[in-house]
Amino acid sequence: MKKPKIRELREAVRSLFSKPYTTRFPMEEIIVPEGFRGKPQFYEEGCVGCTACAQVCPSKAIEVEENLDPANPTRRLTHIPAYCINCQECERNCITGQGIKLTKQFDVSYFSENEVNHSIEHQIILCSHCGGIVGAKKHILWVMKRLGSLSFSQADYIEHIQKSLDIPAIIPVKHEKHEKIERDEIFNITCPKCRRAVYIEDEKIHF
Amino acid sequence: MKLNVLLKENLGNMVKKFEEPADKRIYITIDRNNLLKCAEIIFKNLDARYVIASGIHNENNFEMLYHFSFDKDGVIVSLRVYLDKEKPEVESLVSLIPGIEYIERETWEFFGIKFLNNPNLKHFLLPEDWPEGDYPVRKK
Amino acid sequence: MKKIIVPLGPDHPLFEEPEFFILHCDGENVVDVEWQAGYNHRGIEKISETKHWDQVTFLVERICGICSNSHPVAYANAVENLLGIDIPERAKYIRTIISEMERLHSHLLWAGLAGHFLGYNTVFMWVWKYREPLLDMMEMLTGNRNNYSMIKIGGVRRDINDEQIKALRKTLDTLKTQNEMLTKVVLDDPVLQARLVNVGVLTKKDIKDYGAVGPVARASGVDIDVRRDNPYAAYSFIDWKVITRENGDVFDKAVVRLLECFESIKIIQQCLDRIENKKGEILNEVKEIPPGEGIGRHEALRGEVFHYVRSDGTSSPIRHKIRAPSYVNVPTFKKSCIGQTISDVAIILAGVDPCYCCTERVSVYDANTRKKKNVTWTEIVRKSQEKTKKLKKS
Repeated sequence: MKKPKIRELREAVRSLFSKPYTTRFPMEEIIVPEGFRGKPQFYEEGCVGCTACAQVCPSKAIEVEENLDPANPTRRLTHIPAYCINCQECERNCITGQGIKLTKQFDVSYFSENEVNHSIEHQIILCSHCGGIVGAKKHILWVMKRLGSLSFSQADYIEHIQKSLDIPAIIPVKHEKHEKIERDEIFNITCPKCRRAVYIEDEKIHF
Repeated sequence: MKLNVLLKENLGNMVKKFEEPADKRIYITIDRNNLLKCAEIIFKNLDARYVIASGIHNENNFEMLYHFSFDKDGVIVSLRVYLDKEKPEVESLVSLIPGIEYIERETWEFFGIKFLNNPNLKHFLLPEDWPEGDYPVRKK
Repeated sequence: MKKIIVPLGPDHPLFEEPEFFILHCDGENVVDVEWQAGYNHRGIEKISETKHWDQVTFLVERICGICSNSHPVAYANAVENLLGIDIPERAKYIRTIISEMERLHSHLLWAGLAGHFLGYNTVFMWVWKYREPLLDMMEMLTGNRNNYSMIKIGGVRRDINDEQIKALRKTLDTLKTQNEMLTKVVLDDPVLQARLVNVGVLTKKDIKDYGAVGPVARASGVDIDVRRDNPYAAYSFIDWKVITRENGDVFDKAVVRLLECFESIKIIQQCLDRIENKKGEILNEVKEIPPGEGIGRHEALRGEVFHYVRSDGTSSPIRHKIRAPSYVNVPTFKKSCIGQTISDVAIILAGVDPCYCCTERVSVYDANTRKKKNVTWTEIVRKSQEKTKKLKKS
């Protein structure tokens, strides 16, 4: 009975003269290590609005809202910290690698959701024939840049490329909208479904 | 003797299908009337450890898998029984393995598989007043 | 004789495993135990059928806060078993390191809680202080103190660099000396001996009947450990041994857990030796999961975790069966609690480590008159602590 008491007593004395083990959190800042998985954040420069992060998110913490108003079609990605499990899947699957990144912020207490829900807005391009979504403008430009000269093979984008290269139109593009989809709409920006109709289906069979 | 040979010898013609899709994993399909006999051979005579049972709702039938572990060989042996789609019923193993009571109760309330001769077949995970005939894990 | 029924639980849903026990008592002695569960049933097996294979890893991670690495490892083992693939060597070592660190911190957590139940709050404070640097290490290696998100089908998601290895070694060295002292304190203390020896004994037959696993089985002399029996990750490359004890009482369960901590430290140190100053692949990319079925196991801190998955070639499993170790360990209460007093029930239940710390509401009522006496869990813990005090005086 004697021996353990001495051992414990020694530890007790040591504890008495050492400073408290706990940190004074709100008064004192906590420094988290490198690579800490905190709250994710969208970055304007990197994000192209492809919604890859929303698709891989296990807890559906990234909400995608699409506004199909023809005058100003937009897509809004909103991150909801209340659902977020900080798993870093969004950052790992980001196609540019710079669009969404985890910060070191661990303290996300709030009074109202609007304080922490953080979003990014992108302009989207609509199909000239059916009005469906083709993709975010920035996303398409990003893909074109990656493809380089190969993107000339995509007839929809020829007009844009010609403009961006600042050369006079090599192929004059006519923008005629037909009631039913026809072959010369090949130069208009179309959604995958309409493009399939333009390229593959016979002009005489209408959808 | 190697375990797969030993199993085949002991179970004899009760084995309908013997599969070894991966190293140390054995699946044996048997008839549902032979379940108690096979389980007794594996659990008592061959001294395996009961792991768990899992019910599966297939398109055309129900399936019960009884997993046993042979710890000396590190092998998992699963007994596979197919049950009728309309009236899934199978013999309970409670008399053999007391610990299996809970998973049988769980499978009963989630899949509606009835375990014959289980004396305590009442709700375990779901509340007492859960509507009868509503089996949440069945596929729609 | 009047029989008293004592309902234990269900408890605070914030915690891990709210459970409900009905103790049939004869005076102070427990005659029978009934178990009712499902208060925290979240339908994870069903949700899993709606998620992508890669997303399920994060779902199963959230089954339990303490074993948040065990379920993903077992799930990844199951899917890798289905695919028939092997993972890179470095990934195996990293999986082993994280699994063993988890075991260390959980065993320490258990020791602290057991001390609290017995009225040894000093032990509780000490042990939780020792555990803290481990959690800081976890934060450094994985990015979070819990829910590590390290496992991916085909490997691990993060690498460990040499600086982190150095820091981890230092922490482990201090932990080893601290754990040595703790083990001595527990083993010598006469009061602890009086409270724990021959309390809640489980025989080998009980273990076989209920299929109990992990430290509970090993304390009763049943020599099973998935890490050795069906090696996965790096356990077959490393020198370590399985700890077993013969008596099967709560004291032996405590001893098994404390000695396992030393084994874990040994395993981690060996793993660190093998991966230090080396580089290598950590992930075998998996593109598609073919139809088939797979079984994965992992020796979690509480025992064997069992996952069964079945694929039909689509992007999510069609059946995912999960068996956590407590599912088979908890029913052993039917054997271990009978004949014991109510004040011992707390520590017997805690001996299995079902994360029972969360129970806070208990009401006692007379079976005959249905008259309710409200007794809180705190009161049961207090009863247990008073018994220790009495023993200390005598």
